[in-house]
Amino acid sequence: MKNRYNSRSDILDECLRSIQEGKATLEDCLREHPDAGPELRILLETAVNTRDLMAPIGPSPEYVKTSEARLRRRIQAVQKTSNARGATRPQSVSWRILRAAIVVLLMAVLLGSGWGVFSASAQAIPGDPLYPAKLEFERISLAVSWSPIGNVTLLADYSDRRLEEIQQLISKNRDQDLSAGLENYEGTLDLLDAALQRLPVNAGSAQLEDVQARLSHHNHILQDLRTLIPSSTLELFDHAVDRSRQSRELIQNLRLGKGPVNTPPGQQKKDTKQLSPTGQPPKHKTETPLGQQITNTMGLSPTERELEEKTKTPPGQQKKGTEKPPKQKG
Amino acid sequence: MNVTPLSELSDSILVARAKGGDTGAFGQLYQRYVGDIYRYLFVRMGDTKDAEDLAEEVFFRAFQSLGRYRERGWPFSSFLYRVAQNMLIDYYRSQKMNVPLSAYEPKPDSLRPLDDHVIQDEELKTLRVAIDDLPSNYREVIILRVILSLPTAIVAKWMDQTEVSTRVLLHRALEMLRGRVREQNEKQI
Repeated sequence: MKNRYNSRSDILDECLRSIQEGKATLEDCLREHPDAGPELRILLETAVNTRDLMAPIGPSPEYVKTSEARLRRRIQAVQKTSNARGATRPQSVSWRILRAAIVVLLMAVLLGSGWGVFSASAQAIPGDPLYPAKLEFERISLAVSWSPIGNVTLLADYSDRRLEEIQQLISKNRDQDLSAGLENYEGTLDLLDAALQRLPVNAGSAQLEDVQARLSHHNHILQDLRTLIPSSTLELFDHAVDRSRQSRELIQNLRLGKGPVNTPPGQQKKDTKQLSPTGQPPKHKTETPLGQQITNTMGLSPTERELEEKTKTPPGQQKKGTEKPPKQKG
Repeated sequence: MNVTPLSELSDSILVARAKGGDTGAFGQLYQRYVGDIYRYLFVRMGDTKDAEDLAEEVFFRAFQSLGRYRERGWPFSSFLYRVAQNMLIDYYRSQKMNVPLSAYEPKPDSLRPLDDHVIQDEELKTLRVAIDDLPSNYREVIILRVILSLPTAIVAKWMDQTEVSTRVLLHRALEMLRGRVREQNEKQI
């Protein structure tokens, strides 16, 4: 049974929402709910007075302008520091040797004892005991992928896999694991978005087109699946559909956008510090946000970078994909 | 070339770009939310300058933590409020004291007559004291749902509550706020 608060609080919240959205006045609400009595009036008046008294409070336009400029300068300073660190670190011989050793070791693990587990886990879906192993193998593949294009291809493949897993979960009536499947799908799209934006200048267009086509196909599949989704998971499912749409929107914007800014590490072009006259920032930027990501051009001199972009050949020294996929639910 | 202006892009797209190091995209997010974050901080801190300083730090910290942000049903605004709340806690810890209400200095507004100005400032001060005096979850729901006009669904997510319990919480918080404002007014008389 609903208590007094449940029903009254619903009315109060609904009225407040209508007033905030400008769809009704306080008097309209009171007329609509005559049984709510004077209590509703008092509470709504308290809410409206509170809002009105606080409404004029806000930062001055001057503050917003100067603060935003200062904030951007601080962020760019940290990015420059981060890029400068990234530019020198991989040129170290010992780092390259260490990286090569890690790859050899991982290959040995894969080819040795790990191969059996890898094969067995390939068909695993969320909730299966071997599913975490499947994700781990994917994570390793991503970590040892040298090129940005390779990363995008891998992540696009992984997003296909996540969608197939959702299909399998539905066909097997594994409703309890569906949430994990949907979250994994969204997590993979998060990584894919980030990887797409780091594609080098001339390598992106075909890749973007391919990924866009794949995601359009995802959309068709998702629309077909919707009728099969249990109501308890429908909200999460719709969120995943929306997330997929956002990725397509991002790709569309990247395809329409200008080319990347070929900026040497540690140096930022002037036009990246503020919006272009059209209000649009440059795409495919190569700056690293505060060391959270190691970009695909990290460690290259301006000449090497230029060469890499012309030839589209990963120079081998590049490190990419060190970021880990988001925590995925097994 | 037909390029969508930043102001028309969704938060998700801007966040994805900002994660890629695009300061312009992050600047757009700043423009979108600085007012709300400032208002939230001002209500809690009561000082224009402190609220301004901390608001900028909130966005700087948010950018630094952007790599850890995953949408998953949590809007970017919730992420910002969470950062703001944590920084506010740090601020209070560093100050080792509650912000004195006497520090409150209203912004000058030359467009209002002096009497109105004084009356409204008194009302505002009374309201701030009353809000400050509420239990923390009541105070939070008033700030988010009433002052910042955030939808119940977002407030619920931010406060780790169901929507139903958030509505009930708001109801009770408004009842208590009304009582506290009345008490404050009686004290002044």
